[in-house]
Amino acid sequence: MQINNLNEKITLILSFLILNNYLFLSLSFPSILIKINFLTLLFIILVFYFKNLLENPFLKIFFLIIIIISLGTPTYEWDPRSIWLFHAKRIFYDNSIFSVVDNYAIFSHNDYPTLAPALAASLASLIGHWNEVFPKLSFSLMFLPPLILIFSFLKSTQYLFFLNIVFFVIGKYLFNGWVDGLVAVYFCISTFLMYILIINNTSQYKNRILYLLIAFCFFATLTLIKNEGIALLFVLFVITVLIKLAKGDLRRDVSKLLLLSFSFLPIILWKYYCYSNGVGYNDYINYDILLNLLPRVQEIKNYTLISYFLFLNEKFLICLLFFLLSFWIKWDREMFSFVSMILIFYIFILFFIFLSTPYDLYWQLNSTAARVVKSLSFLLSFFGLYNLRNWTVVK
Amino acid sequence: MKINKINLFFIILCIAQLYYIFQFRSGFEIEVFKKPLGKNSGIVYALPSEVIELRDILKKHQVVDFNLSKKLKQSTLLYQRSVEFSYPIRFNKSSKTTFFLISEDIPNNCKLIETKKYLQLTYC
Repeated sequence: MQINNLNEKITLILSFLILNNYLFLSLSFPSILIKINFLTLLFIILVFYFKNLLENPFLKIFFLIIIIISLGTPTYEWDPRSIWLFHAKRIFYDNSIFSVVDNYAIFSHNDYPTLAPALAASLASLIGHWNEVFPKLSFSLMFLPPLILIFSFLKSTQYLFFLNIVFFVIGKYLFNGWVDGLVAVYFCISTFLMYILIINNTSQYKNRILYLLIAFCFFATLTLIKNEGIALLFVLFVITVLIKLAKGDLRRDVSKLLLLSFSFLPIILWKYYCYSNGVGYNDYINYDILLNLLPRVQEIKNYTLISYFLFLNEKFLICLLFFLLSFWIKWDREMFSFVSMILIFYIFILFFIFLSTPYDLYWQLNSTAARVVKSLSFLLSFFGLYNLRNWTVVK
Repeated sequence: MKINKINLFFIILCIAQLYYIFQFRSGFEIEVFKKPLGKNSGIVYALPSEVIELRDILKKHQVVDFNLSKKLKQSTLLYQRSVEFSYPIRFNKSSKTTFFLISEDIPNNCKLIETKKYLQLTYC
């Protein structure tokens, strides 16, 4: 219990420091404070590694290997270079997250959230220069808070299974400078926190303020990683409120939900700043959305094509099978309905977004579907595992 | 004992997955890992030679902005990589410092400043 408390505290402090870095840059704090913030983050990671050296050794060893791979891998893929690390480079040289107001290099989607790039820029500030390798290491560090937190909920064998899920679903996205892996992990653990804090009335964590703070940090982080995170958190809130309404006990948790909904505030302010300054690519939310959507809605082949890319993804199918198998072994109606409703609602949103894309549908699906579906694959496999946490084979 | 065997199985599975990611999905280069903090670390693996040469020329001539020929701009790869790799030196479509590919003819209104392996620097 003592050790688990430490994990929770480390999770909260790391999450807070990641958000704090963004806040400092937003408020144009002196660079010395930003460096101290990053050094504190590194110190807390060292505390995690050495405070209880033999506790959770697998995460410590495997994460070290991820760091080594990251430091030997140049950033060469399209999105990391043109979007995420280019934003980080701009923040590093301009010493501000607001320099995007000039809308320079419009291909880099200047209105995208910049939490991860801000952390990469601070790492570069600490080192003293920019290069094509080490800044993306900070993206990998952002995986630590959710991975550390989950150790408190699973036994050692289950945690090893969990790490296998992480490597299977997230894979190279742990270190290559993309943010889709971060979205998947933060979304899944945010869903889990929503489940133990709001949905499950018998949860022992329901009234723990520490978990409420962690949830707040994770929710805000999710929205500030990528636009997709905003949609995912919105889905999470809508489904939670609907379930609570159906159960008739919304009033019981309404104050917590209201407090947690403030996690949308930073991204709302960021989007308002961008759009009020005419910054943005406006791929989807524009006047042409109906012009793109209506002709596609009527053709059945478009639904087939989207389904092919989303559902015939081998990782998604394996995770879905595992999820169904898990709930077939041990039925938990509440958890199953919660996760399934989130899954179905988000799939509806994905269909809507893909059908209204201004780009060629095949090209759009081919370039994004496998990354987008990671969030759902990770969600299904995690809850499949969590459902079996107390399950034992009866001989 | 049974638990240990299961743990061992999952540990081996983790190691196998990490090996697969490292060997087939990472693009790991030992030369990069030897010097991950170097200023030019990894650039030869991450960028086209033309883009590396472009930034070297920009630095040598200490210019603040640059333009690209129509052919360079039409190549999405060379255009985007030039813009992001050269930052904080900015791409500016009205800049007189203009780059052409070595295979391109230079217009009459442009004066050739320097010719390198892949690019020509001109003042237009």
